[in-house]
Amino acid sequence: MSATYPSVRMPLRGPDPQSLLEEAERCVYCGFCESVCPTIRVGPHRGYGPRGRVNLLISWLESGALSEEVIESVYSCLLCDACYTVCPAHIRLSELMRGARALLTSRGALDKGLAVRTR
Amino acid sequence: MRGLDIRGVVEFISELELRTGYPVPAPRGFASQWSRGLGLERRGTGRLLFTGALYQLVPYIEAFIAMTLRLEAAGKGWVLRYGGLLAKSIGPALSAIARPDPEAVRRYNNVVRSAASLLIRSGVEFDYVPEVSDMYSGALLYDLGALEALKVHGNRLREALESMGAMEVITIDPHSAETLTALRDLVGLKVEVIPYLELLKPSALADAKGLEVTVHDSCIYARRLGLSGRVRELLRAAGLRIREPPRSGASTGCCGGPVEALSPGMATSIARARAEELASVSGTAVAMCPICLANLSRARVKGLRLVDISEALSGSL
Repeated sequence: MSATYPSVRMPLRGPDPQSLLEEAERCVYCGFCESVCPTIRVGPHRGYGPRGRVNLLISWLESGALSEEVIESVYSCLLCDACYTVCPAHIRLSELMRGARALLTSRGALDKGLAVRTR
Repeated sequence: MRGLDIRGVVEFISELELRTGYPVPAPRGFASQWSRGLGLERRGTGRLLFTGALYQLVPYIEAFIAMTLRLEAAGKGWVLRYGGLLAKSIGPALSAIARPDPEAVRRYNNVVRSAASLLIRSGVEFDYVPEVSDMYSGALLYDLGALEALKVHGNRLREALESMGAMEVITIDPHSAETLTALRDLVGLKVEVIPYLELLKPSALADAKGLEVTVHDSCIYARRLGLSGRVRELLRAAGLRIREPPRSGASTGCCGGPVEALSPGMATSIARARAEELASVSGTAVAMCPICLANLSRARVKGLRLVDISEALSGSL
C-alpha cells in the first residue's frame, strides 16, 4: 500500500548556516520561480519572491548583516513549494526558509517591531 | 499594510503552546468535543487516530485573529510586541475574550466526525484516546521555526504516543502529517504516518449523484505526498464530477493560510485571488486542509461554497 507518508528532508535538527548557504548557492537566478510565487505580487519588494529570498539569505549568511528586508523575506514565505515545481536546480525553498527561521529564533535575532508587509 | 509583530507572534505561540498544549487560547477539552457519542475507544490495535486538533482549532484561530485585528484597529497593536509576556501572564485566560463562532465550532467538529465515520465505514480499525489523539501536532511551531518549543512539544508528543504503544498514526490533515514526519527526525518519533484518505474504501463513500465540484489541492498533499490522484479517485468514487481549476494538482495555488498568523491581510489577499479562480470554474470547491478551508472562506468570494473533502465523501454537502 502506498499509505505511508514518505520521508521529507528535515533541516531543523539544528540550524546550520553553512548547509543553508550551500543549498541557497545552487540557485541559478533564472527567475522561473517568480512566475508561480503567490507572495511576490502582494509584497513590497523582490524579497517577497523566491529568487529574492535566496538572494537576501545568501547576503545575510555571507556578511552576517541582518536587515529588516531579510526578516520580512524569510517570514513572508508560505512554504508552499510552488517554486520547487519549476526550479531547475530543485531547491526546496520551504526547507531553506524553515531553516532560516530556526536560525533567527535560536540566535534571538528577531528584534521587536518587525512585520511582514503587504503592498 | 503592516502585519503583526513577528517576534511577538512567535513568542506568544511558543509560550502558549508550552503552557496549554495549543497555539491559541482555547478552553480545556475543546479538541475532543467532536467525538462525543461516537463510542470510540482504545482497542489495542497499535494504530491511533491522531486528529492533531487542527480542524478543531480553526474557530479559535479565527477568534484570535479577529481579536488581534481589533487591537490593531484600536491602535493597541503594540501589545503583541510583548507576546511572550502576554502568553505567560494571561494567555490561557484569553479564551474567555477570544470567543469563537459557535456555528464554526459545530462545523469543524463535524468535519472531524465525518473523517472518523468514513474510516469506520471503510472497516479501518484504530484506537482513539482523547488525551493523545487530540494533542496538537506542533505545526505552527514547525512553520515558524520555533525550534526549541517544537522540541519540547515534540518530546511530549513522542512520550504520549510511545505510552500508547502506537506504531502507526492516522492523520486527517496535511499539516499534522507533515509535522509528525518532521518530528521523526527532530525528536526520534517512531511512528508511521498515514493520511486517512489513503485508507478509505469506495464502498464507504456516499453517492453525490453527479454534483459538480472543483478541487483546491493542498500544497502538502499535492506537492509533497503526491496525493492529488488519490483525492480525485475518491471524489469520483463518491459520484462527484470534477472540473479542474487553472492551477491544480502539483501546480495548485496556495490559499495564503500559512502566513495568516503574521499577516492576516496578506493571507486574505492571496486567498481572495485563489478563491476567485476556483469560483470561475464551479460554485463548490472541495478543500482538504483546515487552514485552506478557513482562509479561503475568509475571502468571502460571492458564489463560492467551500467544503471539506470529508463532507464531500460522506454526503454532507
